[in-house]
Amino acid sequence: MPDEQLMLAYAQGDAAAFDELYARHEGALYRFVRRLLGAPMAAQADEVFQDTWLRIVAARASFTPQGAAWRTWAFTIAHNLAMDRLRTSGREVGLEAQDDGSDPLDWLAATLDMTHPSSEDTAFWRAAGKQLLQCLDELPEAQRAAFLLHHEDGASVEDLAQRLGLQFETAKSRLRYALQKLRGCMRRYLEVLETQS
Amino acid sequence: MTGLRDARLQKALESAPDADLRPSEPVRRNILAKAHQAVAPAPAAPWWKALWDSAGRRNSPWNAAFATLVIAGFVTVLWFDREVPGPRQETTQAGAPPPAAAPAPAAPAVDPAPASAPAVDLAARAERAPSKDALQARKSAPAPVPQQGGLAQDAAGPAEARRERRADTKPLRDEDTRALAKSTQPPADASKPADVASPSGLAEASPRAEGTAGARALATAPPPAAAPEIAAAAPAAAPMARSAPPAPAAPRAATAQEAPLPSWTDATITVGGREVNIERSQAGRLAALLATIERGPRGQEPLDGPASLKIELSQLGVPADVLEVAGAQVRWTRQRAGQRWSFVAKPEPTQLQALQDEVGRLLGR
Repeated sequence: MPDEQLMLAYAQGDAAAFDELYARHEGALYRFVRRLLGAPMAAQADEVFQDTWLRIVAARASFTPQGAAWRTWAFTIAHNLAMDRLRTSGREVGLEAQDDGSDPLDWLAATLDMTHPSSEDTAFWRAAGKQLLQCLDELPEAQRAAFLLHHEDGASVEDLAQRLGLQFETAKSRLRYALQKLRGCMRRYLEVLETQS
Repeated sequence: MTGLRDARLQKALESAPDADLRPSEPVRRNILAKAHQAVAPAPAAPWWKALWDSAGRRNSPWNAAFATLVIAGFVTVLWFDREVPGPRQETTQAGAPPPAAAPAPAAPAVDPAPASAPAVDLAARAERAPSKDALQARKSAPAPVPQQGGLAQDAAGPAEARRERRADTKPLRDEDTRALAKSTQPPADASKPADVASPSGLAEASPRAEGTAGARALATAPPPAAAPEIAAAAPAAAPMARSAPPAPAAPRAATAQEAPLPSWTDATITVGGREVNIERSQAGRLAALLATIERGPRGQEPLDGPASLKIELSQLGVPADVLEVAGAQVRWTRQRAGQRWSFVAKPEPTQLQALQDEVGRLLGR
């Protein structure tokens, strides 16, 4: 059953439909929220994630399948809540980032052998992913959001512009800048991949 | 890899260490619990709550209804035992000279029949209430004949008295106001014979026309428009004439008694050999009390004794009325255009006492 039908069923009182919907998108939505908030604000990912779902529950009656897809709708809600949290907690980010020694990604950096990475190695991609997360943290929030919506939620540039309330060219340039910075930040990993190919 | 979508970054993103992260278990339980609670059927409301809601408690304007009742009760209390004010004409200055007169009224042809009791009764009632028929009859009457100048001036009283009452209304107490209103309230059933002598009708006469139509009508009319006891005594006007030095004619005496108190500007009060002159503007309730007493029942008997209080009223220096109080009686002596006549009245003791109190207050100032 499509997400939209599940949502309509839930709006009509079918609690099991919500359970299925939640199970489908729990991981992706949580990951999106956590990445959007970045490592410095990872501790608030649970709260924003919960707010996102409660907002979905509260707005169940206003959801219409004729509009955006449920996933797009839910990711937009998560994006807005996360951006609000980033705006209100922006000054705390830098301080928390410096003292954050309990990041769950630290163990990976300590265990991986970065001197001879292999493109076939899962550990390589995990390390690349870890690096990418760090690179994302260094991006401006707007560019980070554009990149995550485009790569993780699969939004097109047009969709991105509509969801962010931007001109098409603005959304496109914002996405281009994000890619440019991330490629620069991930240059070491990308060069390994290029040499292997 | 497209220009804006990098597959390598995509794969790195999917392989990132946080790819398998999930929210904590309490967060998951909380979300699911609240989601289930949101669509759970509400427990059945108790019968009394359903009845309360069905009665429209939420949307019924009980507050507005209660406020309306409170305001209505407040207004009722405010106007309790008070007259509802009706339309009022613009008032003129109290004591000002009477306005220019309308055409002199003329009495219709009236049988010179003796004053029978029913006619007298009708006349007495009509004294205070002119009817439309009477006004119409006066308008169609022939031109008046000059006679008895003082009569028309007296007859101009009701309108003037109204102004006087309005001027005096403000300082009056409520009971005085009600007494005045009661004594001047016109009855509704005036009849034609009574209209002949209606003072209101005569009030339309001008000073220039005084003693013309009204006088002629009075000269031919039966004793009109007086209280029953006065009207009954009207054929025998001689006693009245004896009490008045100029001894006016009998019809005149009867008419003079019905003439209301004119407007006056000064009052000279004499009591116990002391004489005080007071302007009307400083007379307080005196004007209202005099008007009340003047409208009281009248009699023909002479004064029982010497006057203990004498109030001489004048209008712009011209002597008008004299009130003498002797015991429970008062005697009005009026002077109009060189003519004088008088009558005796017996006001209510409370009115007389109020007058004496007011005089005492004025003398004591």
